[in-house]
Amino acid sequence: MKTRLLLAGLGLVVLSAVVPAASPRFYDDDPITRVADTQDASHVKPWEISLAYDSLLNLFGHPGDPATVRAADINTIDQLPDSSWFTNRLGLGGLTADDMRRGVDDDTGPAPGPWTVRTGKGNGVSPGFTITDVRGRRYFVKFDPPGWDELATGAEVAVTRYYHALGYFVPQTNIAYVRRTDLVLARGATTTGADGKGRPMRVSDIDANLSRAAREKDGRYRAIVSEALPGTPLGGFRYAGTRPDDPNDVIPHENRRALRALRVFGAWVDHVDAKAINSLDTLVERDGKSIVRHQLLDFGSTLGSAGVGPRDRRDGYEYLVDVSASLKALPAFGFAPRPWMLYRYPDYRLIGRFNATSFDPETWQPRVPNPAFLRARPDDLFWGARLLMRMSDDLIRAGVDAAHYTNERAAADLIKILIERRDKIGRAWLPAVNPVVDVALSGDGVLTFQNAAVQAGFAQAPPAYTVVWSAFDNATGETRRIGETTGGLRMQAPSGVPAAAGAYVQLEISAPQAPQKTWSVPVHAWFHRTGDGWKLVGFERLP
Amino acid sequence: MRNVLSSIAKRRVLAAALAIALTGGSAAAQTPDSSPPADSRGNEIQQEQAAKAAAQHAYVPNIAERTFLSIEDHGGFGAVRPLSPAFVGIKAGSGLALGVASGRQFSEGDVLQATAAYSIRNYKMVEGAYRSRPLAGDRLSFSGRVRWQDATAVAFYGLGPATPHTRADYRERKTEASVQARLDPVRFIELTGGTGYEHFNIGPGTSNRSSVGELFTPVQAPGLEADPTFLHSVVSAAFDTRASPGYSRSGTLLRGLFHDYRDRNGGPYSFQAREAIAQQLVPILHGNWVLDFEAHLWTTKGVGGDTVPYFLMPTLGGGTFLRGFGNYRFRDRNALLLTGEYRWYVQEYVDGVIFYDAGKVAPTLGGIDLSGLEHDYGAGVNFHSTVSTVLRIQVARSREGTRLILGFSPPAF
Repeated sequence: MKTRLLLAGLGLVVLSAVVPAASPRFYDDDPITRVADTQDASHVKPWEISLAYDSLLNLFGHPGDPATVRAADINTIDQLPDSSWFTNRLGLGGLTADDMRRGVDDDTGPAPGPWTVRTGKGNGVSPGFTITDVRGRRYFVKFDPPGWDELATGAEVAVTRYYHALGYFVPQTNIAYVRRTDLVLARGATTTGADGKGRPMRVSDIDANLSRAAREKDGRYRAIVSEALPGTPLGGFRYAGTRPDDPNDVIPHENRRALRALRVFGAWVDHVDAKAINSLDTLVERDGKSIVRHQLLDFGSTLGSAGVGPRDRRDGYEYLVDVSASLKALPAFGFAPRPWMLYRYPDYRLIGRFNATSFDPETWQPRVPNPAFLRARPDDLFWGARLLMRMSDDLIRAGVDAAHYTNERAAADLIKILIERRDKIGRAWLPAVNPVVDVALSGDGVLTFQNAAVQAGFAQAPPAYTVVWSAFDNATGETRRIGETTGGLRMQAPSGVPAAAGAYVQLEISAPQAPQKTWSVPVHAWFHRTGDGWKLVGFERLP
Repeated sequence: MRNVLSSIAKRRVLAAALAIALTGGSAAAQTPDSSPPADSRGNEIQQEQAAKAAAQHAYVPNIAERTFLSIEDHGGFGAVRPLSPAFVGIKAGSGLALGVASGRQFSEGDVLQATAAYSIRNYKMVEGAYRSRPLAGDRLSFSGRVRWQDATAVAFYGLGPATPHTRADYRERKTEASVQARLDPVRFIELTGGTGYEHFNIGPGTSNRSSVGELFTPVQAPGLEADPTFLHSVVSAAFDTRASPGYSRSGTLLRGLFHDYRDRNGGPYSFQAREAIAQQLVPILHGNWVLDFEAHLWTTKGVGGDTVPYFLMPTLGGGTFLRGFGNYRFRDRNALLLTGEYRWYVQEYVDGVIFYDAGKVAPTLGGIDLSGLEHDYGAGVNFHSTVSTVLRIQVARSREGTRLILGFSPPAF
């Protein structure tokens, strides 16, 4: 009894001591366009992530927040601000095909001349080196697997460009060609021995590496060359939880829309290998302090490539371990083959196993369950799909251009597949929630908005929209109904909408007569009256 | 960021409650929550990050993660380690054998390893082995080993195809020192050659069963009293298009082996053995179904009138050859085994299996035909990696009953 009283007393003390005074729903700086990393992260220590442990944990555990909550890295208008995870590029508009072909920066790969091999990749399956060119610039070099010319290198260059355009931090990658005679072993070069330890590298190690690489008919080797990422490597980031020694990493990764939306982009390019070890945090200097920047790496297992050959037929359709599917398959004696075993793929080896006909964005799966993907809500998927729809046919073509495929017909087919997959994603996820976007309220009370699904041609316009107008108290969150209007994409505000500077209004916009039931769930928009008129300060597609 | 806002407030309450609980309230004044309420979104985020900065700590992996990291840092699951548990096959019939291995892989790829193992049926093995680095552009390699093993109760049912189900046991202690070379001159072609000394010490089995000497005469079991030492030489040639010898869903194997056993003790046990293997794996529907057809033929013949000792004659029965019968159930100078296996995809690392085996032994090569074949059938599940079958759980049925087969092989990746 005494204990209970003590706990009750403690609870009262806690609540009275620490509950902050009621915060306003919107601050003057809302919506923010950038999240600054305010704390010095110089004490973050490099860590290693075990591939086996991470895979097992994701296959058989359920890491991360048990609840699927609204993304926590979005601003008050449901958008992703710039951060150390994400930068708005494609979403801002104005990205050109030249920008896409260019990639992260102006680097086009090693300068003409010999490549000095500095380190080797040991006895790994995938051959590669670290080299410096005649300017002393350092590059990571990887090759295509024998018999699969242009497959992995092309996928990596194209998809790296797409992900950069979409807003992620990735290394600059380019296609380059090298002859054996252009590879020079550096004095002091090292490689990883069979014992897993470093040892001096020899000329024969270069030859052994190249023996596992595809060779062109003219004797050259086609390679992907990527610049080292800026900063001190700290290891990858996990898709659940936070990094405990990074003070700026305050949002569980599974609740980041920047990572949830990779479910959309991964489905588009079949990035089935989105896992922790294919990411890299680096410590970089910003505004006089050290912060952690979060990057995605290694896109060799995308499109139709698995890096060391064509993608597995299962990839994209079923997890590496699917107990439920296994329990059905065992007693069926093989007479209930998985649908993905029957799918057909283009004849071009440089495309590998990548098509649009059998692609279903909603059932697409990476190799291993991804905690952020599992928590992607319809509003996250809508956001990702809308961003992807900004990837125009020309931009897709420019990404493929950067991969320098030598078979033009195959490249054209690849572009067609990417366009079709993009559109399938739009059809799946734009109409799946109330797709009202671009809400604006003019100073004289004219409301305008758009329907993203209708705009993209993936749904019919609903007969009408209904807007419920309310005055909103930013301090208390209370609302007072003003009125309701019905109409199209442009409506006049009802009388009674406050006109004084500093006032807030809340709008609930829905399309109750639309065939899509989800469109009857209203989106919420909040406007703040400023000297310049009404400013959109809040938008919520789903609570 | 509204979501951020609400989560910040919750976490503040929890952090402060924890701080008060731990410090009796004195810590409350030092928590970030004592700072003035945020007046902007940027300020609110800064406070949240500052709160974490005050509590930041290094990541500490749990024991499972540390174990996996250690394995990966030292070359992965298939790597040679200074000390590791060993799951090894001592000899068919040994039962589950556990042991320890101590090895070193040198930087160029040479491997030196010592292994000792003991089985639940009291079988023992000690081995030291060397495997060279890949030479000549991965085309050539050498290996060698020194091995002692003690198989305490090896089954013997007599020679011939129609032996009664009456088991006697013998004990086989074998000491071996051998070297081998392997050359892959071109893709799909494998040539091997090797030689070594093998000393056999044969005696009564340690089980409660009758010993071979109690139930059989030297005529019925040639070499009954022998403890021969052989110079054993072997050459083989193979055409092998399978993805891996341990696990494959397609490909062809054609292999021929020739063994020459020279009795170095001057005894009458010099002989030659020939072995032919043909395997065809037929994938259907991209490997959803795999048909595996195998044929094995073993022949032996004494040199210059010598005799093939019974303990080195071909055998059928056990977990691999004629699975519905016990280990070494049939034994004679010649043997034939035909196997048909149907496997289907259950998931990436699991196959379902249905099989049918047929085989026979015969005293002469002329006796090897398709009449009077013993047969069995069964089903099971195979767990495999991309290159090896790690575990087979199968049930096989023959005229002599039903057997459960647990076949374990060290994983390879």
